[in-house]
Amino acid sequence: MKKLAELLRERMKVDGLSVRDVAEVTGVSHSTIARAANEETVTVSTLVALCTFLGVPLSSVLEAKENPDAIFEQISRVLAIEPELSGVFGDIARKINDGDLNKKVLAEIAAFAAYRVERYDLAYNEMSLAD
Amino acid sequence: MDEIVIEALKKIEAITEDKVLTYLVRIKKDAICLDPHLKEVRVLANQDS
Repeated sequence: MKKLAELLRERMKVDGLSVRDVAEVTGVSHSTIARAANEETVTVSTLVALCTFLGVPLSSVLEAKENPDAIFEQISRVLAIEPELSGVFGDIARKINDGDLNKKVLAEIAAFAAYRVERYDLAYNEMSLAD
Repeated sequence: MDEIVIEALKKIEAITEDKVLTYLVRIKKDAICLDPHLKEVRVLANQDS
């Protein structure tokens, strides 16, 4: 996750923190912190812990779209690749319509889903390189 | 951060994690020629379950 890694590395540099320092503050293992700083995939739990540590909203590290049309297009592309995610987006849409959720979060969720399905591409590319 | 959002992200994580792992297992076994079309990843994963 490139943006998260950039923010993390910058914070560590400015504050003079080591990987182990960040691990101690966040409660995340130092090896996971190192992976995050190296732009590798992190779990949702780690993502939340690091956003809290950095003091930034999830939308900033996910590079969420702001334009409604762009968000819709992103969701459409995600569902074309992974239709099983339609249930998740259906639940979110219902909660937004019921007023239980601010519609701004849709952009964050869409951006995270897009990030995850892009890993399918990465897996295929790894296979191609192995050949 | 909103618990509903975190819950949604974890659902997405769980759904997509299974697919990627299955795909990588297939690659390691070298047992099948995978179609590069992305939707085939999903189909192959479903056949395993």
